Amino acid sequence: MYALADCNNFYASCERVFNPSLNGKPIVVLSNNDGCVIARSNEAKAVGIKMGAPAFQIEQVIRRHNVQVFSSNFVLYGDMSRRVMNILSSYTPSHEIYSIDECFLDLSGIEVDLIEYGRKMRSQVGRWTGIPLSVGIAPTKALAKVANRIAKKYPELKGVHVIDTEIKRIKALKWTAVEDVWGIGRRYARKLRTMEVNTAYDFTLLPESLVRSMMTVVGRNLQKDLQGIPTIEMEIPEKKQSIATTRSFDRDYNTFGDLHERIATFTMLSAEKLRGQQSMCRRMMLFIETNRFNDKEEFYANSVVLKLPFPTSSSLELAGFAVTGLRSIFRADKHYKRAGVILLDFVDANEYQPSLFFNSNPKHRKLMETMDTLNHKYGKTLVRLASQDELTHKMRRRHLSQAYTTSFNELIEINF
Amino acid sequence: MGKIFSTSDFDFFSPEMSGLELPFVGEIACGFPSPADDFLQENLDINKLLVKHPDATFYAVARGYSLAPLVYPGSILVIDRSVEWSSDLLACCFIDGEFTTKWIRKTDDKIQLIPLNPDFPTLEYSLEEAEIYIWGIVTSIINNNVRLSRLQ
Repeated sequence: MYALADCNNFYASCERVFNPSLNGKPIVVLSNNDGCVIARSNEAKAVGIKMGAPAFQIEQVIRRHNVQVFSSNFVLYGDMSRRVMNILSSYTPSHEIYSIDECFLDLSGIEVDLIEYGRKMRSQVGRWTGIPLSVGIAPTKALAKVANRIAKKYPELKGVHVIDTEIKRIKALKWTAVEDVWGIGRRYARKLRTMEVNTAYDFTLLPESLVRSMMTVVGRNLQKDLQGIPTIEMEIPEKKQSIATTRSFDRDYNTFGDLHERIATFTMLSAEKLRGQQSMCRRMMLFIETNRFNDKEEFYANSVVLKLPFPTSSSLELAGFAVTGLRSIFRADKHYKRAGVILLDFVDANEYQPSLFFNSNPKHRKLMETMDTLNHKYGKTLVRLASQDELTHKMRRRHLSQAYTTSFNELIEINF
Repeated sequence: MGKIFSTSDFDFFSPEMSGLELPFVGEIACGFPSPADDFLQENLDINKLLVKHPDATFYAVARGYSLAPLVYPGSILVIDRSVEWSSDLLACCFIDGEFTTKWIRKTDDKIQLIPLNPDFPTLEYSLEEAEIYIWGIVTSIINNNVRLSRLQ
């Protein structure tokens, strides 16, 4: 079984932790420069504020309903996310941080009452951090996602829903509109609707060959997952507010060089997705952790949110920032078991106005395009960064020796 | 320490768990030193003493005098949200739209917020009017610069 733990209206909830008088009031959080809405509390959704709405367009609604408006405070959100994820990781030997506010937990081998287990997670996260959580539990990731939506929608479930029988699976899928299924984009949803496929359940009944020819193997995998056959290992592409790449290692890593290589690779993977959705990011978060279940060594986990001097989607630039961040949280003499990179605070690459002084190197854009095309054509890692290569000992050592002597670039804000 | 949030009463920070370990020299008896203290017994990481649950712990910088001389402006409060409240523990609570730290006493029909500074009154609320949210428990207070002139 998998659990999907998802923080409710995460950015808005973070603001509420430090101002409990906002409970029950409509809140919106705006993107950088207060451009458009990137998060809404339920109350703000109820008064009709749409995701992505430009701030100037909703001024009237804001005044009429006394909506509390916040500029995004990514330092806070990053810190709260780290806390939530740390707590969740104690509930499973294997978890996957999916975005800044969502985490899949592999519950195989955990033989307890799953509703109780989900409630325990939820209450601990709530008490320790103040962040409300919803938990969906099901045999596959796509179904866990569906279960999570149900948990959010029906307060009487107290934030937890488990799909553990065929009857519950079918009921849940019939309840889910096809456009609300994880990974089915608006375009496919429209097409499916014209074919009288209105719910997730209808989708699971389509012939396999049809799904495959219409939506490629990605669609077929999704269909299998919804049918209850665990298929989805990797995430499903969708336009996101944050992009995470996190992995557990097959062995313990203890040198800076080893971790650097991993972080560079994760940055590369995230950056590729970032370019895939035509975004640039203004912040990145990194985290590293040792094995929580190792009795011989004290558990160490740390993370850092970097404010980048300019928005970028260049793997080269992001990898450079990632090293700086890694240096600030890396401790020698530890055996690291997991690490991850989360890109956040996005701008639309096509709408971005370059600033006068600090900008992403424009030459990188063309270079990255070429790299993505080659990798797409010839396999994931044909073209990669030197720091990703196994054989760059020289480079690794150069970075290592700099670690304690160089000071941080002033443009980067370190908030552990 | 990274500042993560500011309100009118507190600046909130998030703990950073560094590995600073100092030799622990035994208890300070405020009298003459015990001969046993000649042996450095173990290393003590002050973070571990102050922060038992890093994921549930926030630091706040205090403003105001209601808990003087225990807490004064600039004192750093270590707040642990995982600790269960009891009337004996110092609570960081949210009342009337503001954060404050007080001891809380509950009776059948009212709630009292008890300060330490005798110049400040005990605040009393009836159960109906009080909307008190206990945000966390102040588990430690860090005072720098403990000067007599400042405490009196």
